[in-house]
Amino acid sequence: MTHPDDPTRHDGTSDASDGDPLAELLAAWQEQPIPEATPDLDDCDDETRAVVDWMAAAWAAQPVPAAAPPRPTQRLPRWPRRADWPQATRRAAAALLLAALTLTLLSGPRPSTERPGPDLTAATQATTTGAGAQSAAVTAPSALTDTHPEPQLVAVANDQIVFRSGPVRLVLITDNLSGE
Amino acid sequence: MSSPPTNDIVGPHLLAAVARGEPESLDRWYRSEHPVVYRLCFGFLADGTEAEDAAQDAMLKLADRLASYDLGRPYPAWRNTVVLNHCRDVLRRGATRRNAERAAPVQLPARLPARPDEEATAGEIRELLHRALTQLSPREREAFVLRDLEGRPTREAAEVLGVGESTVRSLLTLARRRLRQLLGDRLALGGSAR
Repeated sequence: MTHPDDPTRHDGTSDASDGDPLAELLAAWQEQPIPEATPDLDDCDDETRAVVDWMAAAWAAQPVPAAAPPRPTQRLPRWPRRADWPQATRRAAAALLLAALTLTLLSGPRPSTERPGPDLTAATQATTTGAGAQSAAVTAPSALTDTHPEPQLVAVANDQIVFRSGPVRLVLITDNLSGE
Repeated sequence: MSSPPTNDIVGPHLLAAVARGEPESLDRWYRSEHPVVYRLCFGFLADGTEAEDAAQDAMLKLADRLASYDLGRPYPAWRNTVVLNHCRDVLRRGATRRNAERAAPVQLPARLPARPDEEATAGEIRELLHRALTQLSPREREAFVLRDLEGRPTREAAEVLGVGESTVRSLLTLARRRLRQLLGDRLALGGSAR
């Protein structure tokens, strides 16, 4: 029970003579055999064994619901893949797309640039008089009649930069320029 | 003591094939393992309905983790650990409801069938097991299921539960004592099961 090198080991010759009750108690405790934490089932009483046997019998007889292994789900594609199309169909689709693109490019100026034509400017000038009319003829239609497709730098101020692409204006507001 | 049906066909070759994702092997492994996993879930949870869902989820977890399973380790201990941890998660999620159920007094028939496998229907067996197992604490139930019902060695049960062997023995003593108090008289009235 106790290790031979254990300094607290009680051999009945040395430690007991010290008269320390705690040491004697410890020594007496260490000399006791280690109790079995729990006896095995064979060491149990008949009633306990019968109960455990009954539980085990019921355990083995209990029904198990049938279950099938899960199958991997196959997702159907929403659209047929192009690779599944026949070669002729793919060629026809490519030719159709090319023709549509060519027609779009050759169809002339875009509708957004055609809508406010020069006639509108002329009509405005004809129906207005005076300085106010002159300024209106210069400012308002010029933005609408501009047909430049590329973006243009319109103005640079301390805190903003203005671009224009056709009738669309893009104003970039920044504080970098004003602080310097 | 009756022993639960065992399966010996789950070997390293089958496990490796399942880990590789071979459909036939997965099918064999699933059909072989599901009854064991279901019984474990039923024992740990003490709830038949919940055990069905838990067993399905545990099987999926096992299948997922088989790729990282070390074939040198004992498979039953590894499987039982995965199932136990899953059931503990399930128990944690439903702790409030289960506490309310446990507070209710257990209703058992005055006379138990001496041989449940011959004298009781499947539903009665499941109900009796459920009522008896709910009287144990979760830890007692785990030790009792692994050691006394599934017949696993004490050392393996201790490894799965993450405790020492002496703790497993103590839990077993408590579980057996509680079951004896609950079922002993009813078994005596109905005759010995042995």
